[in-house]
Amino acid sequence: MTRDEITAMFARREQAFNDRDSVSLAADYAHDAVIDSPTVGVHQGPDAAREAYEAIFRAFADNMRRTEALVIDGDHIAQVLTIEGTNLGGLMGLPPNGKHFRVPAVFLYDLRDDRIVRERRIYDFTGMLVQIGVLKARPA
Amino acid sequence: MTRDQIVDLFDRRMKAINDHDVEAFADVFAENAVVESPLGGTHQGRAAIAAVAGAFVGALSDATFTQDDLIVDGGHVVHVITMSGTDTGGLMGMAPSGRPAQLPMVIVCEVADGLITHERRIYDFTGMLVQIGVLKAKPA
Repeated sequence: MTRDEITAMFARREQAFNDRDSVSLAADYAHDAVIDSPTVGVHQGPDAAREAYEAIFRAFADNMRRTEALVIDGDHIAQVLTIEGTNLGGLMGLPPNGKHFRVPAVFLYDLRDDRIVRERRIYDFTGMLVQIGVLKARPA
Repeated sequence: MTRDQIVDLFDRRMKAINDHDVEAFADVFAENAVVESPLGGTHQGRAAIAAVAGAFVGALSDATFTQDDLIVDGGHVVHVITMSGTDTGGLMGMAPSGRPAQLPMVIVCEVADGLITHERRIYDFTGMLVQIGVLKAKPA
Protein backbone atom coordinates (compact mmCIF):
# COMPACT_ATOMS: atom_id res chain seq x y z
CA MET A 1 0.00 0.00 0.00
CA THR A 2 1.16 3.54 -0.67
CA ARG A 3 1.52 6.09 2.13
CA ASP A 4 -1.60 7.88 0.89
CA GLU A 5 -3.58 4.62 0.88
CA ILE A 6 -2.43 3.81 4.42
CA THR A 7 -3.26 7.32 5.64
CA ALA A 8 -6.72 7.07 4.07
CA MET A 9 -7.27 3.62 5.57
CA PHE A 10 -6.49 4.83 9.09
CA ALA A 11 -8.64 7.95 8.70
CA ARG A 12 -11.50 5.71 7.59
CA ARG A 13 -10.90 3.35 10.52
CA GLU A 14 -10.93 6.19 13.04
CA GLN A 15 -14.26 7.39 11.63
CA ALA A 16 -15.63 3.83 11.72
CA PHE A 17 -14.55 3.45 15.35
CA ASN A 18 -16.14 6.72 16.36
CA ASP A 19 -19.30 5.65 14.47
CA ARG A 20 -19.26 2.27 16.39
CA ASP A 21 -19.12 0.47 13.03
CA SER A 22 -17.69 -2.89 14.13
CA VAL A 23 -18.38 -4.52 10.75
CA SER A 24 -16.25 -2.00 8.82
CA LEU A 25 -13.48 -2.18 11.42
CA ALA A 26 -13.40 -5.98 11.32
CA ALA A 27 -13.30 -6.09 7.52
CA ASP A 28 -9.76 -4.67 7.53
CA TYR A 29 -8.30 -7.76 9.27
CA ALA A 30 -6.82 -10.75 7.45
CA HIS A 31 -8.35 -14.12 8.33
CA ASP A 32 -5.25 -14.98 10.36
CA ALA A 33 -4.74 -11.54 11.92
CA VAL A 34 -3.66 -11.53 15.56
CA ILE A 35 -4.83 -8.64 17.73
CA ASP A 36 -3.23 -8.12 21.14
CA SER A 37 -5.35 -5.84 23.30
CA PRO A 38 -5.02 -5.21 27.04
CA THR A 39 -8.78 -4.70 27.34
CA VAL A 40 -10.09 -7.67 25.33
CA GLY A 41 -7.05 -9.95 25.23
CA VAL A 42 -5.39 -11.68 22.30
CA HIS A 43 -7.86 -12.63 19.56
CA GLN A 44 -7.61 -13.72 15.95
CA GLY A 45 -9.42 -12.99 12.71
CA PRO A 46 -12.21 -10.66 11.58
CA ASP A 47 -15.06 -12.39 13.45
CA ALA A 48 -13.25 -12.20 16.77
CA ALA A 49 -12.25 -8.60 16.00
CA ARG A 50 -15.89 -7.65 15.37
CA GLU A 51 -17.00 -9.29 18.63
CA ALA A 52 -14.21 -7.52 20.53
CA TYR A 53 -15.17 -4.13 19.09
CA GLU A 54 -18.80 -4.76 20.01
CA ALA A 55 -17.77 -5.63 23.58
CA ILE A 56 -15.80 -2.37 23.77
CA PHE A 57 -18.74 -0.37 22.43
CA ARG A 58 -21.10 -2.00 24.95
CA ALA A 59 -18.81 -1.04 27.82
CA PHE A 60 -17.98 2.45 26.53
CA ALA A 61 -20.86 3.72 24.41
CA ASP A 62 -19.09 7.06 23.93
CA ASN A 63 -15.63 5.56 23.28
CA MET A 64 -13.55 7.81 21.01
CA ARG A 65 -10.16 7.56 19.36
CA ARG A 66 -8.21 10.59 18.18
CA THR A 67 -5.08 9.97 16.14
CA GLU A 68 -2.21 12.31 16.90
CA ALA A 69 0.41 10.83 14.60
CA LEU A 70 0.77 8.02 12.11
CA VAL A 71 4.33 6.73 11.74
CA ILE A 72 4.56 4.75 8.50
CA ASP A 73 7.54 2.52 7.76
CA GLY A 74 6.52 0.46 4.74
CA ASP A 75 3.88 -2.01 5.94
CA HIS A 76 4.85 -1.35 9.52
CA ILE A 77 2.80 1.35 11.21
CA ALA A 78 2.56 3.00 14.62
CA GLN A 79 -0.57 4.98 15.43
CA VAL A 80 -0.13 7.42 18.31
CA LEU A 81 -3.52 8.31 19.69
CA THR A 82 -5.67 9.31 22.63
CA ILE A 83 -8.51 7.02 23.64
CA GLU A 84 -11.28 8.02 25.98
CA GLY A 85 -14.69 6.91 27.06
CA THR A 86 -17.13 6.50 29.90
CA ASN A 87 -18.02 3.31 31.74
CA LEU A 88 -21.66 3.31 30.66
CA GLY A 89 -22.13 -0.42 30.10
CA GLY A 90 -20.03 -2.10 32.75
CA LEU A 91 -16.80 -4.01 32.36
CA MET A 92 -15.37 -7.27 33.68
CA GLY A 93 -18.63 -8.23 35.35
CA LEU A 94 -19.00 -4.94 37.21
CA PRO A 95 -21.96 -2.61 36.72
CA PRO A 96 -21.59 0.71 34.88
CA ASN A 97 -20.58 3.65 37.03
CA GLY A 98 -20.39 6.62 34.66
CA LYS A 99 -16.66 7.14 35.28
CA HIS A 100 -14.59 8.54 32.44
CA PHE A 101 -11.10 7.61 31.26
CA ARG A 102 -8.60 9.18 28.91
CA VAL A 103 -5.19 7.67 28.15
CA PRO A 104 -2.50 8.11 25.51
CA ALA A 105 -1.88 4.96 23.50
CA VAL A 106 0.20 3.50 20.72
CA PHE A 107 -1.22 0.84 18.41
CA LEU A 108 1.29 -1.08 16.27
CA TYR A 109 0.26 -2.67 12.98
CA ASP A 110 1.66 -4.96 10.32
CA LEU A 111 -0.11 -4.88 6.96
CA ARG A 112 -0.20 -7.46 4.15
CA ASP A 113 -2.22 -7.30 0.94
CA ASP A 114 -4.22 -4.29 2.16
CA ARG A 115 -5.20 -6.05 5.39
CA ILE A 116 -4.04 -5.88 8.99
CA VAL A 117 -2.20 -9.07 9.95
CA ARG A 118 -1.03 -7.99 13.40
CA GLU A 119 -2.13 -5.30 15.83
CA ARG A 120 -0.66 -4.66 19.26
CA ARG A 121 -2.12 -2.01 21.56
CA ILE A 122 -0.01 -0.48 24.34
CA TYR A 123 -1.28 2.01 26.93
CA ASP A 124 -1.67 2.47 30.67
CA PHE A 125 -4.34 -0.22 30.93
CA THR A 126 -4.12 -0.49 34.71
CA GLY A 127 -4.44 3.29 34.98
CA MET A 128 -7.50 3.10 32.75
CA LEU A 129 -9.09 0.48 35.05
CA VAL A 130 -8.44 2.76 38.03
CA GLN A 131 -9.91 5.78 36.20
CA ILE A 132 -13.14 3.94 35.38
CA GLY A 133 -13.43 2.44 38.84
CA VAL A 134 -12.90 -1.24 38.00
CA LEU A 135 -9.78 -1.24 40.18
CA LYS A 136 -8.99 0.70 43.31
CA ALA A 137 -5.33 1.58 43.83
CA ARG A 138 -3.61 3.03 46.86
CA PRO A 139 -0.01 3.45 47.98
CA ALA A 140 1.41 0.24 49.41
CA MET B 1 19.19 11.70 9.13
CA THR B 2 19.42 8.47 7.18
CA ARG B 3 17.77 5.30 8.40
CA ASP B 4 21.21 3.86 9.23
CA GLN B 5 22.04 6.92 11.33
CA ILE B 6 18.73 6.60 13.18
CA VAL B 7 19.26 2.87 13.78
CA ASP B 8 22.72 3.67 15.14
CA LEU B 9 21.32 6.40 17.40
CA PHE B 10 18.78 3.99 18.93
CA ASP B 11 21.41 1.27 19.25
CA ARG B 12 23.44 3.74 21.32
CA ARG B 13 20.35 4.64 23.35
CA MET B 14 19.76 0.93 24.09
CA LYS B 15 23.38 0.23 25.00
CA ALA B 16 23.56 3.24 27.31
CA ILE B 17 20.40 2.37 29.21
CA ASN B 18 21.34 -1.32 29.43
CA ASP B 19 24.74 -0.26 30.79
CA HIS B 20 22.88 2.04 33.23
CA ASP B 21 25.20 4.77 31.92
CA VAL B 22 22.89 7.74 32.36
CA GLU B 23 25.43 10.26 31.03
CA ALA B 24 25.83 8.31 27.79
CA PHE B 25 22.05 7.93 27.72
CA ALA B 26 21.57 11.70 28.02
CA ASP B 27 24.12 12.25 25.24
CA VAL B 28 21.77 10.80 22.60
CA PHE B 29 19.41 13.73 23.31
CA ALA B 30 19.72 17.30 22.07
CA GLU B 31 20.80 19.75 24.75
CA ASN B 32 17.30 21.23 25.04
CA ALA B 33 15.36 18.02 24.31
CA VAL B 34 11.97 17.58 25.96
CA VAL B 35 10.94 14.23 27.44
CA GLU B 36 7.40 13.34 28.55
CA SER B 37 7.60 10.46 30.99
CA PRO B 38 5.02 8.88 33.33
CA LEU B 39 7.74 8.60 35.99
CA GLY B 40 9.54 11.92 35.57
CA GLY B 41 6.80 14.10 34.12
CA THR B 42 7.75 16.55 31.39
CA HIS B 43 11.41 17.46 31.74
CA GLN B 44 13.94 19.22 29.56
CA GLY B 45 17.67 19.09 28.98
CA ARG B 46 20.36 16.45 29.39
CA ALA B 47 20.83 16.95 33.13
CA ALA B 48 17.15 16.35 33.85
CA ILE B 49 17.03 13.42 31.41
CA ALA B 50 20.02 11.81 33.14
CA ALA B 51 18.45 12.39 36.57
CA VAL B 52 15.17 10.70 35.63
CA ALA B 53 16.97 7.78 33.98
CA GLY B 54 19.15 7.50 37.07
CA ALA B 55 16.09 7.35 39.33
CA PHE B 56 14.69 4.52 37.21
CA VAL B 57 17.81 2.35 37.02
CA GLY B 58 18.62 3.20 40.63
CA ALA B 59 15.29 1.74 41.68
CA LEU B 60 15.41 -1.26 39.32
CA SER B 61 19.13 -1.95 39.53
CA ASP B 62 18.98 -5.09 37.37
CA ALA B 63 16.77 -3.48 34.70
CA THR B 64 17.34 -4.73 31.18
CA PHE B 65 15.77 -3.48 27.99
CA THR B 66 15.29 -5.44 24.77
CA GLN B 67 14.21 -4.00 21.46
CA ASP B 68 11.00 -5.38 19.96
CA ASP B 69 10.65 -2.98 17.07
CA LEU B 70 11.94 0.24 15.52
CA ILE B 71 9.58 2.11 13.19
CA VAL B 72 11.21 4.95 11.24
CA ASP B 73 9.36 7.56 9.19
CA GLY B 74 11.66 10.46 8.34
CA GLY B 75 12.40 12.19 11.63
CA HIS B 76 9.59 10.37 13.44
CA VAL B 77 10.63 7.22 15.25
CA VAL B 78 8.71 4.73 17.39
CA HIS B 79 10.89 2.46 19.50
CA VAL B 80 9.15 -0.55 21.07
CA ILE B 81 11.03 -2.19 23.91
CA THR B 82 10.46 -4.59 26.78
CA MET B 83 11.74 -3.72 30.26
CA SER B 84 12.48 -6.35 32.88
CA GLY B 85 13.73 -5.47 36.33
CA THR B 86 13.42 -5.81 40.08
CA ASP B 87 12.64 -3.11 42.63
CA THR B 88 15.90 -3.28 44.56
CA GLY B 89 16.38 0.42 45.25
CA GLY B 90 12.94 1.83 45.91
CA LEU B 91 10.89 4.09 43.65
CA MET B 92 8.98 7.28 44.45
CA GLY B 93 10.19 7.37 48.02
CA MET B 94 9.15 3.83 48.83
CA ALA B 95 11.37 1.17 50.36
CA PRO B 96 12.55 -1.48 47.87
CA SER B 97 10.10 -4.34 47.59
CA GLY B 98 12.28 -6.90 45.83
CA ARG B 99 9.43 -7.50 43.40
CA PRO B 100 10.01 -7.92 39.66
CA ALA B 101 8.29 -6.15 36.80
CA GLN B 102 8.21 -6.83 33.10
CA LEU B 103 6.31 -4.74 30.59
CA PRO B 104 6.36 -3.38 27.04
CA MET B 105 7.16 0.30 26.58
CA VAL B 106 6.74 2.54 23.57
CA ILE B 107 9.08 5.46 23.02
CA VAL B 108 7.76 8.01 20.50
CA CYS B 109 10.56 10.28 19.31
CA GLU B 110 11.44 13.14 17.03
CA VAL B 111 15.04 13.15 15.81
CA ALA B 112 17.16 15.79 14.08
CA ASP B 113 20.86 16.45 13.51
CA GLY B 114 21.88 13.11 14.99
CA LEU B 115 19.98 13.49 18.27
CA ILE B 116 16.59 12.96 19.89
CA THR B 117 14.83 16.31 20.21
CA HIS B 118 11.54 15.12 21.73
CA GLU B 119 10.57 11.86 23.41
CA ARG B 120 7.28 10.64 24.81
CA ARG B 121 7.08 7.36 26.77
CA ILE B 122 3.83 5.38 26.76
CA TYR B 123 3.38 2.21 28.79
CA ASP B 124 1.34 0.64 31.57
CA PHE B 125 2.97 2.79 34.25
CA THR B 126 0.26 2.08 36.82
CA GLY B 127 0.61 -1.63 36.14
CA MET B 128 4.36 -1.37 36.67
CA LEU B 129 3.80 0.34 40.05
CA VAL B 130 1.43 -2.46 41.02
CA GLN B 131 3.90 -5.14 39.88
CA ILE B 132 6.73 -3.73 41.99
CA GLY B 133 4.46 -3.01 44.95
CA VAL B 134 4.50 0.80 45.01
CA LEU B 135 0.72 0.65 44.55
CA LYS B 136 -1.73 -1.93 45.77
CA ALA B 137 -4.70 -2.56 43.50
CA LYS B 138 -7.86 -4.53 44.17
CA PRO B 139 -11.19 -4.93 42.40
CA ALA B 140 -13.58 -2.10 43.21
